[in-house]
This record gives sequence, C-alpha cells and structure tokens, in this order.
Amino acid sequence: MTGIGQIWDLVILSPLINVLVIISSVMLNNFGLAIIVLTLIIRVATLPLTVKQLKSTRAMQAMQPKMAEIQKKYARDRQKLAEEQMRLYKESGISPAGCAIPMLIQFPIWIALFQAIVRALAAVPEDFMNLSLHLYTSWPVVYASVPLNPSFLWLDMATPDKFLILPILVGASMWVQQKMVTITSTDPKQRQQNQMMLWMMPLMFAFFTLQFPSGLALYWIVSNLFSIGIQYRITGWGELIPVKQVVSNTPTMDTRFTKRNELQSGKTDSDGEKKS
Amino acid sequence: MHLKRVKIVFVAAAALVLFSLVGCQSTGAVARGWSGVAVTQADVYVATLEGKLASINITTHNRNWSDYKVLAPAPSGINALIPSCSGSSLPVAIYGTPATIGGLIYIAGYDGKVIAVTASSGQERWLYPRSEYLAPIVGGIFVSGSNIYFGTSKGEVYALDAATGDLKWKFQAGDKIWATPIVDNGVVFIGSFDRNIYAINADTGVQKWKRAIDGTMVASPVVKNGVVYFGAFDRYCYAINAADGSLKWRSAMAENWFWADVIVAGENVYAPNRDGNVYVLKITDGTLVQKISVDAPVSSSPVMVNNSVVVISSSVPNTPDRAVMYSIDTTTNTRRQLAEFTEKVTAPLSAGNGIIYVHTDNDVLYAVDAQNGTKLWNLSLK
Repeated sequence: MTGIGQIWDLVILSPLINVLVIISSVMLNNFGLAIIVLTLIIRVATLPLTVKQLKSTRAMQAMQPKMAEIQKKYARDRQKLAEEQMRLYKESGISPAGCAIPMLIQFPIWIALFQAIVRALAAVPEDFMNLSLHLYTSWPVVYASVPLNPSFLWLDMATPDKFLILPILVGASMWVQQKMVTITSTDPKQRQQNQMMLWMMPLMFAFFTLQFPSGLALYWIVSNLFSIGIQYRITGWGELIPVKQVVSNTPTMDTRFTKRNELQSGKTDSDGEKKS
Repeated sequence: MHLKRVKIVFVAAAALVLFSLVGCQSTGAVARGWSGVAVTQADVYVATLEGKLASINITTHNRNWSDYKVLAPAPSGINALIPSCSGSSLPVAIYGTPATIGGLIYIAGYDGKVIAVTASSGQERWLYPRSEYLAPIVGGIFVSGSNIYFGTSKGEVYALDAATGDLKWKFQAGDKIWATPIVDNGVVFIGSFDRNIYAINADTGVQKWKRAIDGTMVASPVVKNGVVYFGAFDRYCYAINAADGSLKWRSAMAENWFWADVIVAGENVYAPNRDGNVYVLKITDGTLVQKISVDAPVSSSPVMVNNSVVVISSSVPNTPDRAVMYSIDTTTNTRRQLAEFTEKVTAPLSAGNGIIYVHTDNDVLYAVDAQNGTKLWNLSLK
C-alpha cells in the first residue's frame, strides 16, 4: 500500500498539484480560477473517454426495452436468458463494459484532481506542512506562489460556502445532468430507480458541499457544467426538455432519440416531416 | 436494470471514496495539533492530540492532576445536525507549546481560545475571549513580563495581561500568523503569511517596522546581539537588524521550506530544513559552512543541549513511520545519531536538565537522555 501510495503521489498527485499551483500563479494568484482552468483541462483531456462512455450508456439505455422483453420471456431459464442477452449485445454492437471501462479509467483522474485541490488548499496546518513535499524544488515559481490565495468572489476556497449558494449550484447542476441521462420508463420499478438516482446524487453532493471546502464545490460545478455541455452535444437535452411523441406506435428508444436529435437540429417539423 | 445496478454501485463507491478521502472534516484532514513540551524543574506540560493539557511529574512520570480538557465550541449550522461530524465529538487541536509562568500554564487552541490553567491543580483561571472565539491559533504563546503574546490565523497579534487575561492591545498584520512571537528588548517580532516580519512595541502594540521577505514565515525568529534570524518558505534564511529591520544577509537557497526555528550557537546559525538537511550558516554573513544530512524532512524545532544542537527528522507520508534524533556538535559540526523512533514526530523538541522531551504523532511522550540517547521513560498521553 505504501509503495502504491508513493507511486500515486509521484506520478499523478504531485504533478497535478504543481500544475495547479502554476496555473494559480498565471491567474494572478487566483486559486478559484486555477481550479476552473485545471478542471476544464482535465475534462477536455479525458473527453474521448467521456464521449465513449456517454454513447455506450445511451446505447445501453436504448436497448433496455428489448432487454426487458428478453428478461420477461426467459425469466425461468437463466442460461437462455444469458445467451439471449449476449446475442442482443452482439447484434447491437454494444459491449456491457463499454460504459463502465471509460468511467473506471476516468475515476482515478477525478480522484487525483480532487486530492490535488484538497492538498493545495491545505486548510489545516498538517496538510499545509505536507504540501511542501509535493512541490517541485526546481520550479521557483511554485515556491513563490505558495501559500495560495484562497479568496475567490465571495468565497474562501478552503472553507464551506456560508451563504449556501455553492451547495445549491452543485445540487442543481448535478440534477440537470442526471435528468438529461434519465429515460422515462414504462416499468414502475425502473421508474422508481430512475427517480432515486435522479435525486440521490444531487442531494448527496449538495450535502457534501455543506461540509467540504468551496474549492471542491467549484470543481464539481465546473465539472457538471462541462458534462451538461457534452451531454447536450451528444444526446440533446434528454428528459430535461421532453419532446412530444412523434411516432404513433410505441417508439423504441433509438427512434425517440433519433427523432429528438432531428428536431433539435431543425431537420424535421413538428409533424415529423422533413423540411424542404 | 443491469445499467442501473452498475450506476448504483458506482454511486455507492463514489460516496465511499469521498468519505474516505475527506472524512467528516470540511478541510480534507483533521486538525490534530503538534504541541511541544514545556519543561520546569519538577514537571512537564504538554497538550495532547486529544485536546487536553497534561501535567506530568518528571520524577514519578505520573500525572499531577487529571488532564484539563479544552471544550470544543458547540457545533453550528449543518454540523449540529450530524452527530458523527459535529464539533463536540472532535477534540480541539493545540499546536503551540504550553507556556508557563507565575503558577499559570497557558495554551492556545485551534478553536481560537486562549486558556490559563493553574499549574498546581489544573483549574481553569481565565479564558480569552470569554464567550466568543478568535480565528484558529496555530502558533504558541510567548510570555514576557506581565504579558502574554500570540498571533491568530486572521493575522492578529494579541497582548494579554498574563494574570487576568485582559486585552492589552491588538495588532493587525496582512495575513495569517502561524508563528509564535518572541519578545526581545521590549519589541515583539513575528512573521506572517503576508511575507513580512513585523517588529511591534511590546507595551503599546504600535508597529516599529516591517520587513518584506520573499516567502511566508511560520518559524519563530531568534534574536541575538541585535540581529533577528529565521528561515522562510522561499528557502532562504535571513538575518535582519532588530533596530530598523534592515537586511544583514540572506543565505544560500535550500531545497525546501524552512519550517522549524533556527538555533544560533557560537559563530553559526543552525537551520533545519524540510529537504532533510541542517544548514550551518556563518552568523556574520550567512555563508554556508556546512550542509548536514539528517535523512528526512525536519519540521520539529531543534533544541540546544550543552554544546550540541539536537534535531529530529521524520519520515514522509506513505512511508513507514520513523523519526531519528541527531545531535550535532557545534564545535566540529559532526552529527551523531541519538535515538530512533518507530513513530513520526512533528512537535518541536524541548529540553531540561539534560533530558530531551519528544511528543510523537502517536501522542506518546518520550524522555531521552541528551548524552547517550537512552530512552529514559515514555508515557502514552491518550
């Protein structure tokens, strides 16, 4: 564990902390701006993974009605069920791991960014003392910039937002993001799960924000807004701004999203006819 | 369904990771404290990592009275709703070494409270402020004459009446103060995060001068023969004329922060650094005489015992807990290993009657023979 911790510090955490400090220096010692810039850099760098994950997730969601049919049909034959599920995945060209693997790869990066912000904030003396061990001795600008200026707008980046604006923004941005990826299901059980997911994450993170330094809340907000933007580019507003049903028969998820995207891109009119 | 399960697992994992990374504290780490030991003829006083003041008889190694517990502020806001995260369940961190004079012991808490306790019985004599709280106090208290002096994380320097706790004066610096002030010849010297060292009239609180340096300063300065010596975060050691704040010299650059206090001995200044070296500098012009490796970063302020500077270095995070105590002979500038601990040490060293006192990060107090490094006794402060 010690070895892994050292490698983690050396290869991932320390570089991120130093970059964060340098960005802060470039931003006229504004740590809030530094967090925003670094978060955007990281999110842009991991954009291919994010896009892959979103597309896979969307494809998986679109497949859910068919999957539900199979589950219902082969409820008593587990082996046949597994075979049919695999066949469906194969036919659809989807790997079940397609959405999990990009997420797993991004997860350590998010943790490292999270840790870098916490370490650089160094709100308690113990953290501040250990910050020196992460700074690159050959980069004078790093030493000249520390301690970082924690003030940003009305906030002290090292303490929670006492005006409770950040927890609301974190919760709201996360809710919007969740809502965009949620699919309305006819299955009451799944609908209930969807609702739980929709509210649990935003409430949980809003609650965290009440306790955590504002710098972390800023990171979450920027990250959420970025995700919302990417999500919009790939799938549109999703369930955030539901589109009227335009196909008379019960639509598959694929046709719904295709139709929504067409509408949003102005290719069809409200009756589903292609514009001339 | 499958996807939802994956998502729920990820949400749960994310929550667990977040809690494990950050815990209940809003700052990512718990403030624990690193109090040194105040040594008198018969007793030692130390603030434990559980926010208590302990009085220990040097001869019997027993406590003189039940530890005095610093009461945490009542939880407020959202903390009041979370029993496990509420302030009342966490001890108050005490970073400064207790100060003692006139039968009273003084401690300053990270909660922003200064407390005077009677040395004989451990009874609370006074609190400052009486009802409110100051900004977190990280530095220690300096006693001089009838006053005590300390700084806060809001950059305030306070002078209080040592007997009553009444406010004598308050001075505002530009940024946080984590250093312990010192008083010499009627002048308070203290460094700040604003990269200045201040000289303040000890009686009136009026600024005498301030000197800009290139780095933050958390170490206490040392004054000798009208010159103020200290190291800073810009990796330089400084010598400043106490009379007017003019720069006498600035040393060669080290590789990390000077966190610990320096020691002036004979013709040299001994400055331990977080780069794992003790820099021996010529007192006259700051020329590097010698760089003595102590193998690991030093954050604990050293002590002078007879003709030796005693330094303790401590392992870095993610490595096995280890601290090694070295004695540096000031006549030959050679180092000798005195003792080794399988614990980390952040607190400053203290010494008295040929015994060095070490308060480890595991809240154990060790008494070490300064001559041969024998561990004479140890006592868990938990």
